[in-house]
Amino acid sequence: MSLRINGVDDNEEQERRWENLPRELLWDIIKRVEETETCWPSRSILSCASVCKSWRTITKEIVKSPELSGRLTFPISLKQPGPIDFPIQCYIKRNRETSTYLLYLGPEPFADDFRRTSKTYIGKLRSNFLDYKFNIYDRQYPSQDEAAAAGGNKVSSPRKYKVGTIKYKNYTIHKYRFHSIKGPRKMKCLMKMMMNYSTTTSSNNNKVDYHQHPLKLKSKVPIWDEECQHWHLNFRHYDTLAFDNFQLVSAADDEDDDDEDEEEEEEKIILEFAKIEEDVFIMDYCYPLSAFQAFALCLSNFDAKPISD
Amino acid sequence: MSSSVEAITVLSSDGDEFKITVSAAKLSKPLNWMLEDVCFSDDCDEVPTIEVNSKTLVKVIEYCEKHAPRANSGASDSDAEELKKWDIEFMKMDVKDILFHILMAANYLHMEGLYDLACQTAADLMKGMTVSQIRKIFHIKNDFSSEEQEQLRRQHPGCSFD
Repeated sequence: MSLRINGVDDNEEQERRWENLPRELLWDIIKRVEETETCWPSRSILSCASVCKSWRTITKEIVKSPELSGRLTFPISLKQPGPIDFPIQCYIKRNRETSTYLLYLGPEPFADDFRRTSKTYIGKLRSNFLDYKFNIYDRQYPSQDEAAAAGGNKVSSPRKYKVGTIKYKNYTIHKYRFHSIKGPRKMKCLMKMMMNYSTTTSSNNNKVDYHQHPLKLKSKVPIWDEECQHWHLNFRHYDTLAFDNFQLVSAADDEDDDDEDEEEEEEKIILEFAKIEEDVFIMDYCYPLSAFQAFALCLSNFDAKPISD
Repeated sequence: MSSSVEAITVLSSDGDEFKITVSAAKLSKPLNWMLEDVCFSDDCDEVPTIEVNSKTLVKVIEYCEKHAPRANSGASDSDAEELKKWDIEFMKMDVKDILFHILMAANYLHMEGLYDLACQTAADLMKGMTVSQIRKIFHIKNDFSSEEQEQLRRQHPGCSFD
C-alpha cells in the first residue's frame, strides 16, 4: 500500500489550527487543564486565558469564581468572596527576621504582606498609631469611564479605596486582668463587600465594585473554661487557647453594646484564624470575605498590641 | 467468502486504502454502525471513505488495533498498565500537525478513549507553561492588539501576555 501524503495544507489554515479549534474540543482541553492543576497560582490555566481571543473566551467560561468553585484562579480571585459552603483553607507563615507574612494555599506562597514594591501589590493595611484601629485599602485602577471623565487618555494610575476598618477593643484586657490571665481580644470590623460578582469572570471590566452597605463582623466570644482556667474557642480542627486566635461571625445591625454574648452560639463562622505552630497559622475564610480581606484581618491581629500587656 | 469478514477496507480522504480489522473498527461508533448496516464481503465494490487524511488514519488504526483486544475482552490490571505506557509513547507526536488531526478524527469517529487521550495530551503540554510557550507549542498567533493587552493588563494586575 502506498502512502500518499496530500499536498501541504494551506499555510494560513495550518497556522491557525489550534486557534480555530471547534469550541467543544477547546472546551474539553481547557477543562482538563483546569482540573489537573489545583495549586495556586495555577499558571497554565492563567496562560490559557492570554493565548488568543478564542482561548480567552473559553477559559473565562470554564473558570468559575471562588464563590462557586472554591478555587482561586486569577489574581482577581483574591478579592472575590470565598465559597459559601466550605471555607478555603490557607496558611500564614511568619518570617520573624524580615517580619513578613506569607499566605499559602498549598505548598507555594501566593501573596505576601501587600508590599507596595511587589508587582502583585494589591492593597494595604494601615493602623493608627495606637495600633487598635486599622484601615484596609484596596488598590484598583479606575474604570474606563472614570478615566475618561477625568479627561485624558493618559494611562491612569491605580487608586486607593478604603474598603474596611478593624477595631480592637483593648479595654477587655483590663476588664479581665484580675483573672491574671490574658483576656480575649475583641475585634469589630466593617467591610465593604464586593458587588455580586458575575458567576464567571466574564465581565469585561474586572474592576471590583462594592456594595454600599458594609458587612459588619465581630469576633466570637470565647468560652471561659473553669477547669483549665482559660478562654477557649472551638475550632474546626483545633481547640486552642483563645488569645491569639479568633473567629469572626457576622454582627447584627442593631447591636452596639459590647456585653451581650451568649446568644449567637451556632453562628456561621466567616473567618477563622488560629496558631498551629510557632510561626504557622491557619486562615479559613468563606463567603462573603475574600482572601485579601481575610489576610488583612489576620495581619492586623499580628500588629495589634494589647495596651495593658 | 462468507459475510463474516475479518477486516474491512476503508479509504482515507486522500484516497488511500487501509485495512482495519472488524474488532478494531468497532471502537468507532460510526464505523460500528456501518458494519452492522452494510454487508462487507470481498466482492463488495463499495469502499467507505473516512474523512481523515492518510497520515492520521494510520495512527488512528494503530490505536484501534492496539486497544481492540482489551475493549472486546476486558483486560487485567497489568495489561491496563502496559496500555497506559503505550498510550503515552503513542501520543508523542507533532503537536501542530498530527495531534490536531488525531483530536479531530477521534471526535469525528466518536472514539471516546482516543478523544480523551488527545485532550489530556494537549492539556498536559500546557502544564506550567507561560503564554508564549503555549503559543509556540500550538503555533498560535497572538491576536490581541497592543491596546487590548494594555487594557487587560490594567484591569487584571498580574495578567501576562508573554
